[in-house]
Amino acid sequence: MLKQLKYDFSKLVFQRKYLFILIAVSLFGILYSVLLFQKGLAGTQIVSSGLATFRPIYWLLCCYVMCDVISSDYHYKTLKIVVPYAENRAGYIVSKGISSAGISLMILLVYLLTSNMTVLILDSGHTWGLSGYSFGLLCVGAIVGIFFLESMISFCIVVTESEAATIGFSMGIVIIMFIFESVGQIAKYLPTMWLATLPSIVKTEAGIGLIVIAVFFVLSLLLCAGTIGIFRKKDLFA
Amino acid sequence: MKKIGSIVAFETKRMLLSKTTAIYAGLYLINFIISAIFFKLYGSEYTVLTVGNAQSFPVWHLQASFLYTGIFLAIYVAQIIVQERSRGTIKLLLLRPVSRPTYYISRVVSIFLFSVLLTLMMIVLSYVVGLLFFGWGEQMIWGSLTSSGIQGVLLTLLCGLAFAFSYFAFGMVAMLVSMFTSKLLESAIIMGVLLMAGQYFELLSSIKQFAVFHQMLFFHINIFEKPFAYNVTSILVLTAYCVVCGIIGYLAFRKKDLYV
Repeated sequence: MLKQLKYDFSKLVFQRKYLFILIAVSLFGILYSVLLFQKGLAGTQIVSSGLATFRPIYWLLCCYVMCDVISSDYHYKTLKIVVPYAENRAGYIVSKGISSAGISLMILLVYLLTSNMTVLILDSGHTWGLSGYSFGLLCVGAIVGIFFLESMISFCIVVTESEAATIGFSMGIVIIMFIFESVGQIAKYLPTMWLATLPSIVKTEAGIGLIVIAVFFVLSLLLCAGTIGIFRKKDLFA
Repeated sequence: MKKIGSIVAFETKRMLLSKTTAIYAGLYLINFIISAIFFKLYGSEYTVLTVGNAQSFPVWHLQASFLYTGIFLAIYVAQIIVQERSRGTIKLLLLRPVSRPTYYISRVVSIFLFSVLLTLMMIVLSYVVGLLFFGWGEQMIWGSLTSSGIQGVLLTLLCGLAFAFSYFAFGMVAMLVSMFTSKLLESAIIMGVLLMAGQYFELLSSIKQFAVFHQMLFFHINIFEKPFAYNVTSILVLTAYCVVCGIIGYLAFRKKDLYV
């Protein structure tokens, strides 16, 4: 699996489109932070408000990255060449999952970094971080959300074997979650909201919150197990 | 014409029987069920519905499906334009006595048929969900319009046709973008980001009527609410999008190296 992972990360490095995405996200972070600073918001509020605006775009970018990384070999018929790098098929799928999760997390971290740095340059009194947020819990929330989305997408890929169906399904699921976000009572328990709400869930509603997260996590594990099970039996030699 | 007809017939059969269309139908159904449940629990607060009956259900949800329908249409356009090129199956089609203009026109017609299919799918699924949750109801109420029975259904279908036309114009924009991308995913994501950003045209009151996104949101409503002159301008704007994008798209396609 390590060999497959090394191959996947090399591919990410060489393919400039991910670099362009990171540059675009950095530029958005800088410009939006400057805009909010000019409106008179405090430093940590700028970072928090910026994150709230960036969040929907972030999840759509995650859909793109995950569909691209996980399905590109599958749909462009290079799977027969790439699979032998992996020790076994399960290792191949896990490696794809780790590399797409890695780039998704990097997009978020790049945004937060550029946003904080911009505010630090504009307001020397600013302290790193977000208003009322714990950075560690934010990352945990993001990782669990990414894992859930990834498990859904990879399951859809191996079941439908259709790139168009996978993209439609992944964006549809994210949009359904955006619809659910309009209901305040359930919004904070949605995977797309965890990167913003996990710190407050842990503080105020640890019991219910952690049960909900655990349910989503177990669902994700089951979907991953199903994906690996189906993929191992697939005829990839057509 | 015969060749265009046979290509379009094949594409129509493919769009009706594909897994993708089934997934879209499933996602619409989930969306409508969520809306019905929210209306039952919270009233109009978290849903676009103001009246709980099957007659009014479809027409209220046309506008609300802006992101969904736009993305599904963008994916379909990318599938028939980009994927055929990247997989090399376009060469097989053009090896037959099918000229590039014939092929291109068949794609344009397929995009129109797909926007009509998506609209019909939404209307039918809305009626089903509305009937299950609320029953038929006494009247169709939509803004200032009230109607009932067959007249209400015809009104809904007319809205749907206007809706499909505006989304066809968006589909032509998507086709133009697809001419310059090499992967289905890239084309779909570009159109998805454009859809999200395009909603901000509503803040620019002087030019919003000329944005295809405004027409996607409001054309099927404005044909009943706005004056005749306004609607004529809207129709001309949408037609202009179709014609301009169609022409530029064809000029790009005519010179394209199809990886032979």
